[in-house]
Amino acid sequence: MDTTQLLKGVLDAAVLAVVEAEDGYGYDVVRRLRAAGLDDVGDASVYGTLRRLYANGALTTYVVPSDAGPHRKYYGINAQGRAMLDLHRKEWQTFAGTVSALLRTGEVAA
Amino acid sequence: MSTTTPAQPPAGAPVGLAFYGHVHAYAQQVRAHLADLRPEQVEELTDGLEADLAEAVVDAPGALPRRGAAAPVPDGGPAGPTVAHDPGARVDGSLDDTSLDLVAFFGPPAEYAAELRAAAGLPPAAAPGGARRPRIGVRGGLLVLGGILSSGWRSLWRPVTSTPQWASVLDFLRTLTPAWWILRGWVVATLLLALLGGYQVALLPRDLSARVVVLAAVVVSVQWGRGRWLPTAWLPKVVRPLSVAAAVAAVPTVLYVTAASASVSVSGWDDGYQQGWADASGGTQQVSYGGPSGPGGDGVWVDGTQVSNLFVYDAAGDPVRDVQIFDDRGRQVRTVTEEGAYGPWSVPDVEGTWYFQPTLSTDGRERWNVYPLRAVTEEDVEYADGDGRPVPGTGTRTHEMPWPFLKAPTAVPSSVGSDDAASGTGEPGTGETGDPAPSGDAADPADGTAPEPAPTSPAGGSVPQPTGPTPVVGAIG
Repeated sequence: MDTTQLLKGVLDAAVLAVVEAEDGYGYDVVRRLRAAGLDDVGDASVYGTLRRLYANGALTTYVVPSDAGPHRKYYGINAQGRAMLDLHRKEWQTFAGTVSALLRTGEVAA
Repeated sequence: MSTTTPAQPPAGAPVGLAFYGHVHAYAQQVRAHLADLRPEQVEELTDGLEADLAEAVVDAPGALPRRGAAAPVPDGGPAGPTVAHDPGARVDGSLDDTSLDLVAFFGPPAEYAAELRAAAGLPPAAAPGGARRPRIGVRGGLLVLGGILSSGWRSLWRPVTSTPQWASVLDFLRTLTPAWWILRGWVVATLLLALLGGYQVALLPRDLSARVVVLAAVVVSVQWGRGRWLPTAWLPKVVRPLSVAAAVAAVPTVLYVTAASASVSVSGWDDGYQQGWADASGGTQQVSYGGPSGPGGDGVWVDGTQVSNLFVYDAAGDPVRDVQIFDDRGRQVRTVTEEGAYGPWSVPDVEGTWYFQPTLSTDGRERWNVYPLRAVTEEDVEYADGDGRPVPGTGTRTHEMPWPFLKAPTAVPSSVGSDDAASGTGEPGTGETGDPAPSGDAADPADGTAPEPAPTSPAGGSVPQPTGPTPVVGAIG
């Protein structure tokens, strides 16, 4: 199964969840997603998702300069982002429960 | 603030100026593939990209792939031509020897950019065609150059712009954006009306059609700000420089309008009205050289026009000369200010320009509050040795200015009680002998109410007859 297609549907929720746990910059979020098991997540996909969530008002952002190199752009969650994440959680639970039930029985049509 | 990972890369990582040069070059190539987006979108998408790329490389589990100098950057994207002239690469000379193969690591910049924009919910770039290729190449090159310049500029301000306070300032300013849209429309319309239509720069133009133009411009500006009414692809590119120009022009325009409205008669919205009023009222005003002062300035003002001279009539309506006028604080009432004494004045019903002259009091001082003021013509004037003030030339005389009427209406004062009238205070106007002594005979009730006999006393005993303006007429001539 092509997990990248599955990932697309839940990337918003996954990124929000990671940022909710702790503020993070682009690659930091990528690393935490991979550490959580989403090995196939693409760097640019995560960065784009962060930008889109920020543009939609779900995230805040601030820049932290670095002595060693280029600055880092951190993202944090805000109230709207938490509300969005809650919604994602509920939808995911329902959806996953349904699909799990389907796959467990193996009887798509009775 | 997060403390997720240390800012310093692990030891042994290929970190150095050259390394960041490669990372920067790759990031700029990604930006070049986003060149069809608005600059702020590109900035939004790729701000901090260098840090992410660099850390991803440092974090890579295996050894970083390297490639030889001969291998070209396998960039299959539309910005292919720009790679060879990428200034970011040129900064780093080591690219010619052995280079970090970031393309092998991250994939072609075109794909990276496509993934970035797709995840950000932005439409994919237009399909690369032969016709588009050179245009994007030039645009991409410019964008790369601009990106380098602007990133240098940004890093200069990084200590300020990276603070949370700066973020809240930006947030605050962002909420004011609609106000800027309105201001932008107003500035553009106002300046266009002023330059093309010859209108005054004002908050609102005087006639209706120009107001409609201003209103329409504001509506269009707001709609553009909301991203509406931008049907063609080139229009947004025009709006941006137009906005910058409007922002620059807004400062002097707003300052001008506020200055004009603060002082009504300084060349502003009602210039024409003021001029018309002055014409209609006979043009009693100082001939302006240094710019007129407004109401609230020095001098005496009536209905928005400056007063040059005062003419006093007694209760019987007869002219009175050499009257000293003070205000309720005991200050001399001067129509001709210190400055005005140096300047020429135009006077109603008389040709030419005039220089008003003060009266001398017995202590030798000049008194400017003795009315009516007399004046000398421009031809007769000389300039005093001391202060250069215009004075009557040798052998010339001051002239009396024409009275507005020969006789004013007879006043019936109400402040004086009938007892006073009956007590027989002196009434100069009725004295047969011209004697102003208050012990005179009982005045008739109609005229016996004149409050003060004093004003006519200094007039050299010339007692105007109630029914006889003739001597006055003679004096004027």
